Amino acid sequence: MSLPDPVAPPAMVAEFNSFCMAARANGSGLYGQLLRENVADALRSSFPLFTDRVGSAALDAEIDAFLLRHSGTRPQFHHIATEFVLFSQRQGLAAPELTALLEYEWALLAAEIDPATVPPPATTMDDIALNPTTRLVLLAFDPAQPSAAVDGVDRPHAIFRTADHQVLTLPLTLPDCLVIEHVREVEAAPLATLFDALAPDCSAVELQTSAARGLACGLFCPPPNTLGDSK
Amino acid sequence: MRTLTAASRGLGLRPEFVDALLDSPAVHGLDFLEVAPENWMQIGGRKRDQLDRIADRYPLVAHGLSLSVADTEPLSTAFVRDVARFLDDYGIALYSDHLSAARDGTGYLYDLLPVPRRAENLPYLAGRIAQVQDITGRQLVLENISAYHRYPGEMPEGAFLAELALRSGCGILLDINNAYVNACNHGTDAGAFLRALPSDAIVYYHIAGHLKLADGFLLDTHGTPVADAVLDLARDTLALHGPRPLLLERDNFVPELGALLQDLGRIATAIDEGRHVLA
Repeated sequence: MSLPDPVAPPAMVAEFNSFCMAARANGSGLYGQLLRENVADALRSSFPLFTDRVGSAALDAEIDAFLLRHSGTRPQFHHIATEFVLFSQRQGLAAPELTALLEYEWALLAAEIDPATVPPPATTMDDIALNPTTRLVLLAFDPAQPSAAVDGVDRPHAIFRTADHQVLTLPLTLPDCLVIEHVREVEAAPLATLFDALAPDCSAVELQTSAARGLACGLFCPPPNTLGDSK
Repeated sequence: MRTLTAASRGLGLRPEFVDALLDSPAVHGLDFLEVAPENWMQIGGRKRDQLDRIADRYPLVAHGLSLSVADTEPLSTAFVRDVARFLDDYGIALYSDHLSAARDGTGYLYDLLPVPRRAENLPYLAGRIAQVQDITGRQLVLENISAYHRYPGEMPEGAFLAELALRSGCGILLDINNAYVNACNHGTDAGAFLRALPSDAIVYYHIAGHLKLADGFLLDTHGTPVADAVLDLARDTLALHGPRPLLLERDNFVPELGALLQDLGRIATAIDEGRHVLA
């Protein structure tokens, strides 16, 4: 049982909040500048494509709005990036294609640091599971050329981290999506059962191709209960 | 748990030299590494793998940024529990953060902000420190920050920190560069600050470089070599409080590991032998 929360003296609350509000509102004061530089540094480091595309004036305006209006709830300094994405989504600050780019880069970051242990690939297996770091996203741009013009068509992609710590973005076909959906639902599935379940929707060749490709790149992996304990 | 000695010398762990550390056996002259727990806990992948391997070679101490122990909102006990788990997982005995706040009534601001140093705020702060120490099962060690704002009529920093340590049982991480920066920026006496601190509460020392702006104002950037004047103050500190583990912070314009270790060695020698090094 934790000790009870002490209550801050009202004068301390008023004095400190007044100082903070000035820093939030005034970008020309020293602490106002430091707060803005911290956020800008975190965004440039986490979202290089977004910050490059949005331009410095718009980025400054978004950071001003973030500091004035957002209630950050995560203590960790490195969660500035996550808090900014949440704020941007709620406020609709950026154009839809820029928000999509921001969300894509956030998914890359989230897969990179996801605490899950990724099993090493197996050459033969009866059961398959979805890589535990997988994020499924719809992208209206080619992630290999994110600066190229968008065509407005959302295409499904999987973003995940491999056992050797590479973060991959994989375009998904319809059979891929069906296999992923089924594997997620049942958590782990024997390949034969999987193929039987999806036979009405896809041909055996399509399913085998999808499973083989997913296994080769690490999107699918052995289920956790087939592995030994890890730290 | 691994312990340090007063002669131990360390560096803050930076991504810039993680690979260099892992490419060689334990480096001579580097006795410990300091990590920010929130940058590593609940994180997997390459970073976790690197930290696991580094922890096999070096003693670690934890120096947080995000505790916000001095803010005026309810303590994030979930965060402190996560930190405690991280400390236990890596056998880290020494946990420090800053005597500062990172959150107001609106939410987190993600910086080390000064809080008003008033006698009437001390019981509240001591209660907050007790909460953290209760959850982590460790003494909380608090660093004096570089503060660029002063509230009117505050207590002197040294007296405030000393009283807080006495009331709460917290330790003090004495950042010698911060003491220098504050004294210069606010026209106070760094020597008086040092003399006000209780020696037995000081757990270890930080030393770092700062940036001098055109108008003479100093910013604690951790991006330049340690200034001669800070080395002078470090010698005064050791004469007054005795040797402690010493950690060099370098977070910007980080040189190669070899150059950084040379710097650390030169700083330690200069402090010990009382001669000036570094431009």
